[in-house]
Amino acid sequence: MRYLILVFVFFSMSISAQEKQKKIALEGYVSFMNTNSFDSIKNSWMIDNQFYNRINFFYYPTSDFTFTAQLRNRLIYGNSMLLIPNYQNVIGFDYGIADLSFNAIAEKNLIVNFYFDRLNFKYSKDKWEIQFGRQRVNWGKTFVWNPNDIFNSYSYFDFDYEEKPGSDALRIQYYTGPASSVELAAKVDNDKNATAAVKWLINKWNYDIQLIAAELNQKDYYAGLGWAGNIWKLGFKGEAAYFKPILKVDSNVVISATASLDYSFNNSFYLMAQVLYTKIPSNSPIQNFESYYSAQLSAKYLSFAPWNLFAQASYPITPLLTSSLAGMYYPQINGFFVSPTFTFSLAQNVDASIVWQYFKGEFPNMFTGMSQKQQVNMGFLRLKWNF
Amino acid sequence: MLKWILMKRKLFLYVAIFFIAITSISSSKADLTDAKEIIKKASENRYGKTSYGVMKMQIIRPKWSRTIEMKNWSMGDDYSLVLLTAPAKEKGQVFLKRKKEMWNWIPTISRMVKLPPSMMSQGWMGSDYSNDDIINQNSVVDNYTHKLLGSDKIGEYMCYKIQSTPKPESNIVWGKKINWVSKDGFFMMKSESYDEDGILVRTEIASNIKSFGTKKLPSMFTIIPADKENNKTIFEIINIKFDVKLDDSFFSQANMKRVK
Repeated sequence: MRYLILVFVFFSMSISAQEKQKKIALEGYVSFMNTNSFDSIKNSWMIDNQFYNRINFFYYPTSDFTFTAQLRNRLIYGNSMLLIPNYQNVIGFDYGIADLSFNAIAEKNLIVNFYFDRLNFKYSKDKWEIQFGRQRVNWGKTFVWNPNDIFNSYSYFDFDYEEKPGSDALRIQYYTGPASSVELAAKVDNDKNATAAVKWLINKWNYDIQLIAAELNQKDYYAGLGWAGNIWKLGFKGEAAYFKPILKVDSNVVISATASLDYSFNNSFYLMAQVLYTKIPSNSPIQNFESYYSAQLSAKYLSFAPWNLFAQASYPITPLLTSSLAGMYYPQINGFFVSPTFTFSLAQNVDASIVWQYFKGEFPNMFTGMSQKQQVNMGFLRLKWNF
Repeated sequence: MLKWILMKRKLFLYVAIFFIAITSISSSKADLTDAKEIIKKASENRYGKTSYGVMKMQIIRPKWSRTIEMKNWSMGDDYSLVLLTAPAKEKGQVFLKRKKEMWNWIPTISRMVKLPPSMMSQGWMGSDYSNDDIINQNSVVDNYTHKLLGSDKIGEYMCYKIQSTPKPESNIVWGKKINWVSKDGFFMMKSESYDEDGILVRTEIASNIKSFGTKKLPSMFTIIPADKENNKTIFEIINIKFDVKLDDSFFSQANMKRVK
């Protein structure tokens, strides 16, 4: 693993000159992010810093084949690793069947991690597309909660990792029309459990409609429905899913359904709202907000509360400064999440962002089970250069 | 997510600007006296059924400038495919328009997003084009009454100077327009837009007439708002090919993932 990464980094550096030949493309970004967390500004803060370099490499040996390798390199230091047990292993863990994550340095207060989150071959010709290796199979239709996105684990709150981890998969897609297809996909995870699924996508009445049937992690049978279209000028998207455990002794059926509406005004003011209902099984690993925030969510366990409401507004204050305000509301815990975001374009390829995340709610105490009011503040400052 | 939203807003504008840019293509030569006929010639779409172009748009402000670049495949008004090639963080995004439907392929997250109709009429980064220009561009001929004012020289080109006044029943925001159309080639070389009080709001200038294959056309379009002289939007055609071999099956989700 160590040598693979070194070879890749040197190889990437040496090819910039060849890029003009168009057989090879290299892009990515470098960012620095400072994270500050506290419950109240008067109390002690946790301060973490991360340097992040992403290298996306593409090789096109012929017009039909593409090889992709994407490396996520991070240097992390700060308080979290002192306070969170096993932090080095959490950062260095690879959820795929192949272990492509490597901690080059794992000291008490410093981690340097290299991680291939994409590494795949793709063959694409006429109506066929076949992709093998670590890739992202993304079947989601809506913005925040995705009951149809069965191949990925993800967290809405981790805005800094928009690419999200890939899965070790084989995907075969056959296009039945310009906007319709049949797709077969299968993956194997670190725990050697396999997922296999078929997706049928059609385009009718100006709607994209998908039907999914799957077996998930050798644990559940799955049926899913997703759509994307519009009502008048509003975008209207939704996803629904049904999970039934394969083992008959497990009666924890999960049903999730979500729908969103969005609209963009002439002055670029944009509004979006989404609602999620999910039937929480008694064995859900997401029982409270803490696990909801930090865990890698799956399509099966989307929330800790049955009803979830999300709304977002965004507006470019000036051509260079965009702002957005996002919020979630959970009626059961009388809790909410608010996140204002400002992104300033400093130069053609350089952006600075300020992101705030605030949570408040009545959460059950981990030990006593008694409900108590809690709040969390997280402030992020990020500088990012794309190349 | 915000990034997607802002991205989506840009597309319709690019595609529309592209069509504006190539509407003034013509090769005939004549000395006309009918103002409406001149404007019609300048506005006619003579760019062929299909085209492939490489474009660049620059927003210039006194303290900053931003550039966006793209490749565009199009067939008539109903089909187009746009690949963004700059800036770096948006590179690789693809937009597909098929009649009234539009999709956005975001390769970084491997997501195909269907765009709502309200996304299609948005501007970008305070660019000096407005939605009104785009929506009403094709109706210039019939929504205005045209009057030939005389001849004028713009750059090296002798032009017809024409005043176009909106008809009362049209919903045009301008009070009037003065257009300069070259006698040779019928290029819309310059256009001034005035508000209802007769005050100049904006000037558009075409320049750098180049040959692309067998066709000659202005390759650069500069838009200058009158009240902010240091603000400009420059739209440039780097390369363009007409009547390329495309049919409607090219404009597909499969090709969104293939174009480079």
